Amino acid sequence: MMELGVALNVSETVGVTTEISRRLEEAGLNSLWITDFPAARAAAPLAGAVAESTKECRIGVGLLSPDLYGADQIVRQIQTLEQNFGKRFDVLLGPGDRLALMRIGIALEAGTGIAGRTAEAAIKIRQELQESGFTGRVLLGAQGHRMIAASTKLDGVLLNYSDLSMIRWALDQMKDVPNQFTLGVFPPTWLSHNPNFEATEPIRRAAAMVAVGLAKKPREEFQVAEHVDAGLRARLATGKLGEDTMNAIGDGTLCRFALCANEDDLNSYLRQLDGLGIGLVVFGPPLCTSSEGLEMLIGALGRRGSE
Amino acid sequence: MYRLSVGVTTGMGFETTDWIASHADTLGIDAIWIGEDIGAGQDTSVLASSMILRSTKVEVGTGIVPVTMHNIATIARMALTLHEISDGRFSLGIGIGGTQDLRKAGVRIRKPVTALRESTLCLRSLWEGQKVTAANDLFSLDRYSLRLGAPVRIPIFYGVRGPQMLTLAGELSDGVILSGPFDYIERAISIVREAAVNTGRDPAEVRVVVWVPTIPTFRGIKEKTAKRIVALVVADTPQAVVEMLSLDREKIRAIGAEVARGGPKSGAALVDDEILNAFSISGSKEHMVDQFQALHEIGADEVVLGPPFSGEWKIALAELATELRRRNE
Repeated sequence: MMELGVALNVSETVGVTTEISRRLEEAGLNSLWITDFPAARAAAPLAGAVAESTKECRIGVGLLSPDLYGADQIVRQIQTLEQNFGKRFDVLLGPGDRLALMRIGIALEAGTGIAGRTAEAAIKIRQELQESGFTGRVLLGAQGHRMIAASTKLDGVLLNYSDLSMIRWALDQMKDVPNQFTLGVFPPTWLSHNPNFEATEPIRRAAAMVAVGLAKKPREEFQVAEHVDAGLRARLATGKLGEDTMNAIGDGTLCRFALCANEDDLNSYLRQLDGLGIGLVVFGPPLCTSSEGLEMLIGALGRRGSE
Repeated sequence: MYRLSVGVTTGMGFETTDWIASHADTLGIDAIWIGEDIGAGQDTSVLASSMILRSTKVEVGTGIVPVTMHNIATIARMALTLHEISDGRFSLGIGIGGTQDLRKAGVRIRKPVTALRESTLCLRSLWEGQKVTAANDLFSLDRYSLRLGAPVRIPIFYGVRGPQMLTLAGELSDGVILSGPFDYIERAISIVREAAVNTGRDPAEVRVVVWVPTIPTFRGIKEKTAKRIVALVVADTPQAVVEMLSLDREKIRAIGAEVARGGPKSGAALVDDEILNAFSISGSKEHMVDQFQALHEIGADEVVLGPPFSGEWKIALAELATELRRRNE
């Protein structure tokens, strides 16, 4: 059975996040994922509060960037979570948002082997956690072919794609997928009874964030290079990801980087992912900021559970 | 009347920290302070989260998180998260970090006072909801903001020693965590208060917390454990502080050198009764509480119990808290 999760922690207070967590677990969700930087709340201590307000669902911590914390601190964060709150945690690792990290003094210069360095740190983190008796999963958040290929040395991957053809391409980059490997996707998600991508700024923005992070090779492979490059130029010129960036990319391209759906579309999408062998879907931001979307998901989960 | 709190460090095991957090409310203590052993043991932010969630009344603070070892945005985010988890029971204690630890980590700070001042101002600006641009030896922010809906006020405590740092604490901090012999503490408090007055503040706005090793020998703790802890504290005492003491400076220098050469166990061999009594509080519960009272009389608002926690430490903590309450009644 496909594992379903929701990513929490965009701009919500701790109180809101723990209340949503409790309701989603009661509705039957398998896992909650606590995002980290650039969110204002830190994932590791927040994951403790989420564990305390829920009973048994799995709690994913991250995406944590080894360039921000260092591998040793990430290991200690996860070990301390397990010791204090039980064996319920998974960890998601990745380089993080390059431009957002740059704002706090972490320079991830392109061409400096970011993918290799992150994968190496992730392997070290997994090894040290396993040596200390960690039973959870260490996953890599991946989009480019190098990171996707490197993820097979870990316990799983969360592909930062929504579009089915892009997911198929990503799966093709993986050779010798180990047994028990978690194949997951992490689509920016907006659920509504009347979804309208073009008129919904939060999902357009989330899609644009993924699009501008796309590596050169998949950009060309998916024939979106022209639009994404225009978005990147707009982002660099304005110093922020705003309307200029989104308009430069264009909604026709942007909508390929997000899931904007009603319940029927959602069920159909999940069936297609199931057909591709995807075992984990984490509904990414901005879903957690939308009451309508969360209520819709809770309702859909209830109906799936009773089927 | 003064406050009584318990100090733990991240290097302690889960069983110890969990017991303290779970019993903090019933022990009747006012706060728990968490000292970060750089790069070792439990993660400070997760441990703080756990201690907050396992207690309901006590304040929980870091004592301290070194600003030299973490990204400033990470410290701001961690504190915001703990502030919200605790519903306002959290205080952020910051400092530069212990001399020995920084040396081991290969960190060298040219202007520590400036670094702490700028870190404090930056954290407060971020919690006020401002967009911050700053660049210095320690951190670099470019139009960074926490995007808060409303400003938050998180108390900042300093774990500092030298006169310039103490002056800064009086000028800027909400409280100061002091450690050292009595004569040093008395002098340090007067520097903090004088700086507060000179800045136009009410000195009572700066809470004085005194955290020295408390060694309840009345409940089975071994003297060699105490000496090992004291050796480490002596070795970590900056020269500026040593110069404020009436103790034999050569003896202090020798202990520091021995700890640097062979570690705290080796340095412990040079710790005599004079040094032990100057840098720690030990003996019977009545004597220890007398010493706490003496600290209060020289200006401490709060006294921190422990570590080390060994022997029958749980009983010792309860008995000390009870003795203090009895005297306060």
